[in-house]
Amino acid sequence: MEGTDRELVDRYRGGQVEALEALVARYRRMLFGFIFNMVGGADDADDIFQETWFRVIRKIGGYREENFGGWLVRIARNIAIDRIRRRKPNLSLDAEPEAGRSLAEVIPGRDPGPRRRVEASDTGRSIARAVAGLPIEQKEVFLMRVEADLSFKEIARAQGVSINTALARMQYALAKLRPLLKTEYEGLTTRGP
Amino acid sequence: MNCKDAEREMLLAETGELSRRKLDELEAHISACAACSGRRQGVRQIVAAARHALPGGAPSPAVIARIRAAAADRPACGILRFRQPLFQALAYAAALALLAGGWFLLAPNRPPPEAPIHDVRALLHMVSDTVPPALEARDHTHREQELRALAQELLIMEGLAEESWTELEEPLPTSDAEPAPTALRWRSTGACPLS
Repeated sequence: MEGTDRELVDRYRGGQVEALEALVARYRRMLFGFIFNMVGGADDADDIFQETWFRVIRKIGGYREENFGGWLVRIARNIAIDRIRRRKPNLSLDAEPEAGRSLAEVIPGRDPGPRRRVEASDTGRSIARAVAGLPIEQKEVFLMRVEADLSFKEIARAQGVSINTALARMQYALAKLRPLLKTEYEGLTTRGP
Repeated sequence: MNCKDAEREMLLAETGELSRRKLDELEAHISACAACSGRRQGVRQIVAAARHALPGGAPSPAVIARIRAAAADRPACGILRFRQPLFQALAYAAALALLAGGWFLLAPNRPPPEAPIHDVRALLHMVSDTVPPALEARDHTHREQELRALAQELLIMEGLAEESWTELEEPLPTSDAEPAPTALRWRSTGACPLS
């Protein structure tokens, strides 16, 4: 079914179930990728993906947002954070990881299984591991930017922080990932404009 | 612009959140700064590599089937839904007030402004064929009582008040041909006056 997100939302409100199915299909990979990398496992990602859409169905009557994708990611993010908190109630998401261990390292990850998108290169695998090891707030920002393609304004809104804070978190995340591309990166920085 | 600012602004530039003026300043800085030029390339490279490398995939078909079933079970509608009964009652009251106001302004033979009960009666006529007999042929001396009775009915209809069987102070006057209808008799029918 064709149409903008807004049109599909309106059609679903008007009783066309196919319109919601079209929205699910449109955002399936982006949303699942975001959730999967937030929680680190396919089973949890399935649950959270499902709960996200159930909430969308419940709340869509009052939908007034400009960006459907941003709304979707905000809902998914809140469910994922709740899930992570419940899983490890003693961990503070605001605190920096102890003794060099990130939250993602403390929480056991799961094998992505047969649904892994690509056979990543060594660098790619290193990046994936490094992203999984980022502190949760930085990982959220990075994933919302890279997987969900949200603007920093939307990311800041989802996290309930200022744009400057969201930008700073992205900068921290990039600083941690940069050494993984050290060779290529050094080549780039030593080259003149 | 210094290199620290440039790094933040190059992130905003990638998402299209930088003003034209700032973008020009950024480009001018990057064209003169090898470090920032390389940094921007590095950011783009990390993002591209991560997009390619991060595990992902798609939800299981069973999940998609459950979402589809839920969507079909709960077709959304554009009608406002309220979590709190009070909000719903307020919305109904506002809608009634709007209707009454609109009728009052537009009706060709509108009643004199000192007779608000006529507005309410006309409103009931608009939404229902059944008008409580107690509202017919009335002088204005019992207007306040009637309005109180109507307000009570609205609250009962919205589930915000229990049905009350308190007799009014005196029976409402009526014509000789009818049995003496009272506000109590009307309410005791149990029928919704708007249905």
